[in-house]
Amino acid sequence: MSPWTWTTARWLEEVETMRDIKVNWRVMCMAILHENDETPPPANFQEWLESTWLVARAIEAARANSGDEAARKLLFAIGRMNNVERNRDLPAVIAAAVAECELPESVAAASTTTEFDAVVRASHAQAVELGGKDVGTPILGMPGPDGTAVGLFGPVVSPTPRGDAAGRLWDGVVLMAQTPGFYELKKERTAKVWCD
Amino acid sequence: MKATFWFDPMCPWAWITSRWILEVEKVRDISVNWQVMSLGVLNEGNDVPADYAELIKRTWRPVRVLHAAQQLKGDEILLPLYTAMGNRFHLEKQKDVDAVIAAALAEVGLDASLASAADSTDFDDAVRASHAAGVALSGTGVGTPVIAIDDLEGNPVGFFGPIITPIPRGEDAGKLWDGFVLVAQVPGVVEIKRSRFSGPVVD
Repeated sequence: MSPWTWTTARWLEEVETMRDIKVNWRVMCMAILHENDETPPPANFQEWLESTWLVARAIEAARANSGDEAARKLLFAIGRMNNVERNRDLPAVIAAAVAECELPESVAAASTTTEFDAVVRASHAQAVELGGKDVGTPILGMPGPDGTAVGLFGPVVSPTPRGDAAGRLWDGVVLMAQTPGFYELKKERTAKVWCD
Repeated sequence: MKATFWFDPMCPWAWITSRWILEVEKVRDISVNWQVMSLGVLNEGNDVPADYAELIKRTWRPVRVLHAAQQLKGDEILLPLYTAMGNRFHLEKQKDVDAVIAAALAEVGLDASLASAADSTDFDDAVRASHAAGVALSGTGVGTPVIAIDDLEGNPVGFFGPIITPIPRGEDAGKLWDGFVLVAQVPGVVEIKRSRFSGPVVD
């Protein structure tokens, strides 16, 4: 649901074709990220945050039903419809994406039940465990120094790097992740996010 | 490769990053140009706690002296004077800003009278201009240090950070530099971050 997560996810897909990596796609949930905000979010943002549950539940339902690859396909189908095609009717997006991925309708139906909430929370908690509480989504969990695992928020990037630039960004992120005690590299976001 | 490094001498995180880039100079072919930026300018208009506001006010003093020294001796004086100040602020934990300034000036062989710049606003516009050159690349709303290099088209790109602790040494320092260059040169990258699980370890 997060456009900045979408650009990073598309980049990582690109990297998979050019570096020897295998990405395990896991859900986080924006609603959980903002659960303990000191100042409650504005009402319309809160409504949007609640809707992020629907997507996370559907993806975990797909995983339970058909495995990790089905979850990945559904994630990218929903992401495309939401971020690229800008379809804001979320129940319709989920239904269409479930159909496109040839998953049973029960996967879409699960998005409005709490059946997978514990699984979503566990998946989210795993990311936050690695990357920390005060960052956002996405978190990239990867090998850190001396066989440890580290989680990095980002790389936040727009537009999505393609080709050689995608590979160089990956190589750079790996070097940073493997530096003990690397915390932050940042510039101000001046451009709007571009999703394709 | 050339890099420009903007620092405020009182920031412990900038100190760590500065000591890292000195390590990088030993293991990679880079040359660093040092410039001042200001925690005072960064925090202008921010609603900060009273004791932090008091600290921020004091940060103007060493920055003004650094700039006065730069006017007199050129950019080359900034690193040794920064090191002389930073050793006292960060390693020796000295809190008396004016004592640090006096001792640092003496250590690098500068005239003690330069300390009077701390009380003068004569250089503030120039300090602001130096600061602005850095944040023009990183954007406002981030912090110190800012490091700039050229991208693959030869245009300058700048970032706040890398924020790290402890100081990477030797080849570890070199690898982080390689990563910084790779990431900084990709158009559109704005952030890579994790929560700070530790405070700054300055030595």
